[in-house]
Amino acid sequence: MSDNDLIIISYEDRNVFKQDSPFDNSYIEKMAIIELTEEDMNKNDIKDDENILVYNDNGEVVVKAKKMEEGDVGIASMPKGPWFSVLLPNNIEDFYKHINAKIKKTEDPITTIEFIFD
Amino acid sequence: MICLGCSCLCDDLEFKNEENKITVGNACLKGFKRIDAFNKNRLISSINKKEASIDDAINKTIEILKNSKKSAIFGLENSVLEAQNESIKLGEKTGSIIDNFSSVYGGYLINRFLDGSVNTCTLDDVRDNCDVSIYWGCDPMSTHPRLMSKFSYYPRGKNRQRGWEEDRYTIAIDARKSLTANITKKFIKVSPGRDFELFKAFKDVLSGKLPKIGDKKLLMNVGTSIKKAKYGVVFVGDGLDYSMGYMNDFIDLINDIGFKLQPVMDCIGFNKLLFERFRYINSIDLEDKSYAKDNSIFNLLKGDDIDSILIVESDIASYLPHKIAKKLKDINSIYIGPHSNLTAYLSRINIPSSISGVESGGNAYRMDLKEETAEKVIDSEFLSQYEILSRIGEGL
Repeated sequence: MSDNDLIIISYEDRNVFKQDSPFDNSYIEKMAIIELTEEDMNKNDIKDDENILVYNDNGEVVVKAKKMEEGDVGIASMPKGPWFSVLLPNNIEDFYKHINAKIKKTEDPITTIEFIFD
Repeated sequence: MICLGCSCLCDDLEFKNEENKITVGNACLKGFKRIDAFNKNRLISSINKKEASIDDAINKTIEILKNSKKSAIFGLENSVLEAQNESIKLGEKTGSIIDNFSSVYGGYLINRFLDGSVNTCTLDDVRDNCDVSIYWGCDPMSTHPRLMSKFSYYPRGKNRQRGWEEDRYTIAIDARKSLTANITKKFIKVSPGRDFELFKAFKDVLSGKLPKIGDKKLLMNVGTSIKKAKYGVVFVGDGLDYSMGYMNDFIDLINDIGFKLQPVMDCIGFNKLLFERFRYINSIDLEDKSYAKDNSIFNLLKGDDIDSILIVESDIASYLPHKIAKKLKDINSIYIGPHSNLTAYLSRINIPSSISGVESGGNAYRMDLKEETAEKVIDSEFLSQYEILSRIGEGL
């Protein structure tokens, strides 16, 4: 397992609501993120709020890195939603189990909903 | 008023509408948002992304369903029983496949819950009697924010007068330290996908053996509390379902130790209706009342068996793998709901509805299957989901 290999688990953010528009900045700020441990951030030379590319065989997406308050090295988390769904497998048996993905720093902007779905 | 914000169906919300100023008492953030968003991000009636009248959108839907070779109806997890029943009638008329989120997660557990092979209880029983509660793979503080304050942890119950400080012992088991894990008395972190191994470790502890994995001291300590429990309840969420896959052994152990089990999931009301009618809770072909795994939303959108889909208040596009969700753009997809979301964005027809339990009334089941009646509290020009589905049905 290399430094940029991660297991990603998903969670439901209590501050995101069914009534929110997925095109609002406040929604994107809460959903287009990946939470990483400080150790994983240091290993990959990533700082809080920097854009990073998260990718695996299912797809790739640019989200913002956030420092996790408490967690295990090698395990990251993302809110369930459009950005996490890019990394999901197309097989229901493996669906929503933890996802394996890699990360790397990028200058690219956060992936838009339009880019994911158009 | 009754809140339909989640399957807690809190019955103590205080709603006031004085001089166009709305105030809501006792609601959690989710419940408050459901009411407060009555004038925000509302779905606009449209056909192929062009604004259209609701009559035209309904007529176009009728035309699509009439010409469809095979259609599906999906969602209704957040709808009232009247709309859910109407969707079944509509599906029987069109010979549609009917499905809901339980085909994606939690279905097996809900099925066992409904067929009576799981020991369970009411949330009122939990409030009055529960002394040990376990939250396994669920985070009610995020998904069902008042579950712990109204029923399982903080309230004084009939036989739990000393409340959470002395009378209630709580344990969270999860892959991450969730908001729920932050407030329970014990937290057991389980590595992603290894819930079954933890379950076996618990089984060892409960039969007097040393656990083979994990923090042995913590597991022994929690095991002792489980053994001593007078009234124990395990709340289970999608996290456990994803990880465990095969749930029979888990359910058997819960039954063996005399604990009750309560799924913390929102589609249980619609599942109950379907189970009572067809003995299945999802993935049902209403043409011949048969069940097949291939009838799940996941497989339907992956394959080519349907050419149209009617989705009612369920933002499936935000949760399915995006390559599968994109299929909504390739078939005749119709979205009915109060607010705009990603599923509406991908759908060809949008039909706005009232907000159930706010702008229109109806009945709903709480997560423990207690039936409640929600009243309309705000006047609105929007049709209810029941009315929209009835009009589509009449047009057919």
